[in-house]
Amino acid sequence: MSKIDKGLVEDQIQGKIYDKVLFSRLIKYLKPYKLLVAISFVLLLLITGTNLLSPVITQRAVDRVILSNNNLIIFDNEIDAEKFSETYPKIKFKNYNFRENCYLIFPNKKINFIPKHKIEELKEAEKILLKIAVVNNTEENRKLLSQEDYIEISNEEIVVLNSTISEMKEAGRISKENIRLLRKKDFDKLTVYGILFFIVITLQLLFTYFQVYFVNIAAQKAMYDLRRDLFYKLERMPLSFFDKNPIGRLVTRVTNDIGTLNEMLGNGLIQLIQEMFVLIGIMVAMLLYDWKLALVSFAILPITIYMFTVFINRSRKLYRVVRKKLANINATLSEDISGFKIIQLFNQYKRKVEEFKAINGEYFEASMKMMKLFAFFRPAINSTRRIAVAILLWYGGGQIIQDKITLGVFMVFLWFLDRFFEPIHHLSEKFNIMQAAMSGSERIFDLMDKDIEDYRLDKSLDISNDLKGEIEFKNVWLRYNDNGDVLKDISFKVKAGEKVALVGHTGSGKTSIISILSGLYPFQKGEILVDGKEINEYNLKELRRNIGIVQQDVFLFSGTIKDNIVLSDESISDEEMEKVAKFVNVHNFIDSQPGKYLEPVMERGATFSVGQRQLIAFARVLAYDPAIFILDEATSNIDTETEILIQDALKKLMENRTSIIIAHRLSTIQHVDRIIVLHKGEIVEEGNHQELLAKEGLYYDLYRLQYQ
Amino acid sequence: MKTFEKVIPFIKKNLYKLIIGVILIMVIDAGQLYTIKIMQKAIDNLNQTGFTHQMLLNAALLIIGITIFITILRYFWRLAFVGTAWSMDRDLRQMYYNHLMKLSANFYNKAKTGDLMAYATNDMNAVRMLLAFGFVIGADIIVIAIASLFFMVDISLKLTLLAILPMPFLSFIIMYFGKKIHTRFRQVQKTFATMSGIVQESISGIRVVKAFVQEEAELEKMSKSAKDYVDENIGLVKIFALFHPAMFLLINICMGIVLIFGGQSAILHDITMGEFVAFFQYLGMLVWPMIAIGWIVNMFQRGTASLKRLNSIFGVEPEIVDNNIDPDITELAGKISFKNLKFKYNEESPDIFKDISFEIDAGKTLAIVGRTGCGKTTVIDLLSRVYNPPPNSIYLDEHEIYKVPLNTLRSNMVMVPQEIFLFSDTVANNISLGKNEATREDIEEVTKKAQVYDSIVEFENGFDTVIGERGVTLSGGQKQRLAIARALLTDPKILILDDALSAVDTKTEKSILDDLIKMRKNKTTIIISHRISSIQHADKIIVLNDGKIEEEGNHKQLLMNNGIYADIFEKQQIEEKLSE
Repeated sequence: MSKIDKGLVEDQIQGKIYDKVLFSRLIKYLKPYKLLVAISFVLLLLITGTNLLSPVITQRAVDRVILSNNNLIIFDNEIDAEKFSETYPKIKFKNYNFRENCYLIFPNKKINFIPKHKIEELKEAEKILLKIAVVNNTEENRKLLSQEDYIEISNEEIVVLNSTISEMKEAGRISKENIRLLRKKDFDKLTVYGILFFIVITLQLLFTYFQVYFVNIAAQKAMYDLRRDLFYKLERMPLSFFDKNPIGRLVTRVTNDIGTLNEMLGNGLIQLIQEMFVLIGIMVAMLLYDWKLALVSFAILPITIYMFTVFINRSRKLYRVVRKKLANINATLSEDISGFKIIQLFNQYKRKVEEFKAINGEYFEASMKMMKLFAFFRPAINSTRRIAVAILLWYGGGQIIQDKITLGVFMVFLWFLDRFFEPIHHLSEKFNIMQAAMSGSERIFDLMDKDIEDYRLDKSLDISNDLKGEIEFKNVWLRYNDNGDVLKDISFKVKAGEKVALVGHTGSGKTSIISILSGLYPFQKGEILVDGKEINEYNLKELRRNIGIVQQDVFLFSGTIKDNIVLSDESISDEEMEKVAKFVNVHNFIDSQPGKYLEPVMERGATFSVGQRQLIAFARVLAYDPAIFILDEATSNIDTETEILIQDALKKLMENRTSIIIAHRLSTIQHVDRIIVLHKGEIVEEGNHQELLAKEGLYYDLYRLQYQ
Repeated sequence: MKTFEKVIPFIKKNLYKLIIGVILIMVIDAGQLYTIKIMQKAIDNLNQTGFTHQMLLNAALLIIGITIFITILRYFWRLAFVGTAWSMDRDLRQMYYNHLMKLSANFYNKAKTGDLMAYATNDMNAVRMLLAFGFVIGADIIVIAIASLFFMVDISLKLTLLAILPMPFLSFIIMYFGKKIHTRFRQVQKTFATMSGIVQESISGIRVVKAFVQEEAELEKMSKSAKDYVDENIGLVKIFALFHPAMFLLINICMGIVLIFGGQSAILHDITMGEFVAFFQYLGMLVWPMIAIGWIVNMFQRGTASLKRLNSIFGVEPEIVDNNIDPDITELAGKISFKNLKFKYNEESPDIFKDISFEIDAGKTLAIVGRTGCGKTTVIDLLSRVYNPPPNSIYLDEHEIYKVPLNTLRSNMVMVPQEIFLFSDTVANNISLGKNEATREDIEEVTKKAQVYDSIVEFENGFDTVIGERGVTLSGGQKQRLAIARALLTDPKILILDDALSAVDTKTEKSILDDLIKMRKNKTTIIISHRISSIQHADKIIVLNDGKIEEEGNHKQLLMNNGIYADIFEKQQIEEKLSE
């Protein structure tokens, strides 16, 4: 980066979709939930399994039941049959001996193991029946068929040519009901396959449900942890960090940027993996079924992949252009909406309209290019699937004719092809998710790598009880950046219990003094002592707990009034809280609210007046009872009634407490023991009100300007 | 139909393209279904004798041919619809922009910039999607659904009825889950907003957080809301996790039904094996319309909601317009008179001015002073018609202000407002805003007068340096001096400076204004300043207070008056001394 620390990395779209370092840091957050991740991984495998199983069931049902895919050979004696089956060891024959004859049944898809001439021989001798149905050997079934139509192969089964049934049906010799009766065995089997199918798809539902559920729980929890870490990091950053970075951007880190990661873990990545699994599963299954047919089906794949990569590359480039043009439109719009007045006053309507036309036109051109890219590649990539189907039809059909594969296998391949091309479509969406997540995590970890404020936690307070509250500045110099010194050689001492007012024109350094006292900014030179000890020797948390600050524009958190008084300290009882509120004259106001102490506080306390907010802040300070009290008085006008309450409360608060007040009101000034007058970062006058007035110096002028 | 008012002209203009698009869609759908038919026939013929490889090859080639044909048609289909939608998107956005630029301060005071921008992008998107896909998909699903059903019934009515039995449940599931997801999603967004709010607040109040050592407490607070957010998200995931699998389950149930009952029919020789295979394919085609129905309803809802939002902006009439003008007025000499001006922003708001009358002759300098909020800026906003003044209260060269065409007014009167607005463009382009044809010498000249030349030359690219976020950041004083230069370049008959040098130190302000008054000899100039020292040479000074002109005269006269003017002057003298 050319410029030195310009805050955090700007929000921009990065091209990367994978970064090893970022990734491993991310994965660390998943570690505590590895059981969930492991379970969901197992489920993923099961889903892949069920995904493959359902078409296999269909195939089995088609080949074994719906189609009559068995053949029968008839032998006169057992020896011939045995000899025959030994000749073709690759075929699994089912052997039947019934009455004098011997029968061998074998699946049609193995018919190619028997030489063609042998089949012809058998056909001529009428010793072979092709494509038969095996039905139960019952009285009724035998009656349905005529004697010459069937062969009894055992006491349980008889064999019928499928074509015979078809012919009988066409000739009206057998009714549909009777076929149903006849083939009851196959119908039952079909029902079993159907039930199996339903079981598998139901399991698929369950597996998918739990898989998505578990993986998202893991992702959500991991992101919760990350969000906590990031927020805690942010809270402990030094104040100067917040001066440099706009609030909106920091909020985005904790909210949206982590959101992109969540999206990736919960959606993108897991689905990507799942689809890869299915893809591989399908490929393996296809190869196992019939490797030749599989290879033919994949023939078009190189073209698909080629087109897809071209598409992805081009669309990613174009996408960036489109985003840029859109950003241009947004920037122009936002600027021109803010600057409408100038545009109108300078009579620039026509010119601005032309300018916008150009920018809008560029966006249109880019979008049209993108659109045309999509219009071409989407259907083109999609068409390769249909071409694959056509090739399958041609080659697979030929295989069926030759009895090398069954129709069921053909169907499974059709189904596989459908599923096979599906993930390819999803891939491009996932790319975008991954891209967003990678740039999100880059910004997140960029923030994570920044150094937090040094709380000096190793240094604990010697005295476990409170400080006395003596403060001393010794030749303190401060500058925030290169814009010159804000405090120059500041030295003063405040005794324990003393009340001091800081007075000066805007930019004189009053606020800076109180900021460095509570360690909000580091100072460059000099020493600040509290109770005689350097503040750098204090544990920052302990130090701040002993300094109660009321800011000029009192900041209230949304929540209740009670939340704002006790903050997070649950040890403060309601009675104590009320006591404190009464002491600083705010109890009556709070009590008049409909919700009393539980009255909700709107954002920044907007519904309360400046004076009311200040009183609540007084209560907040007193509840913590610090040794040092700091007040940056509000400049705005406060109604007289509240002003009286404030002044009274102030007097009580300052009692026996070291107090430093940046005063804007005469009445406040009159309560203090001593006034320090600052001018451009230096102490120019010191003394009490009367002494300073008598001097007729800077204080005298300030007094005339501000307090008269 | 009123919602579509702005869109209908586009549809009409591109009607022939859209009709062609719809026809293309139908042809594509027919082609898709036909390939299934080809396959069905081929499979049935496999068992017939005399069926050759050549016939199989022919079938395959036919499918490939149709596929390529469909692919080409799809390209043109998208071009017809999506292309038209994009050009509508462009034109609508331009219309929107043009309209915005005509609207007045009254509108912008109420509108949020973020909203106005969202309309131009998000809402425009929704409308485009509606036009691009909404209508097409409508046509598509009808054709596909009817045609697939037709082919399925052709195979077997009974089987079709059985197979589509679960289909209505599919639509139901999509609608049911769609609704649930919607409400859940809103819930998630709500908790997200709460969480963002807490983070935002905590960072805004970081000083208090640190001062009261609340870092851990804030973490717990944030964690609680982050936990809520996570819980809501998990709630949403529970629905999501069920939604898609349930959808697939239903589709698979249809498939299972076909497997059992279609299988039976095949055994019974009611249907052929080719029909059995094709039936699965048709069923697959039928799934898409069922899913798309939910989608299309959603798209329609979003699109019309967005259109309504856009219409609400288009419905705002520009207020500051020429009406009843005298077109012969093309030049102004520079005399200005206010006659009994009464003004309030709207009916309910209190009077800003009760009765203001004053006059300034052409070529003179007028200064307006007064405490914050006394209405100085309003006076000149009315004069320059940022707001419409009541009729017959402001006159320019004896013309009633409404008689003067806006074009004349704007080219003769230039105002430098309090809040300087610069475009993120080069320095030179910003200065030449009102006079695009100005030469570099002219530009340099005016920057010297505004005493900003030296700063500009120090920038990396001098006058070609880009200002703003992506370029150099200017100080408040530099911005103001640039704006002065911008106004000086146009050298108008009437120049108005609205506290335009407040961020410049007193000395520089005085010297700029001294120069300016010299330059503006014989041209009318109005200066508003909170620093009296810099306007004491004005020909006339008016002091506004409480909606009235409290004092009027030149510097000396006003000091003698010993009123508000004198009081402010004294305080400023002290202040000046303090800051030295």
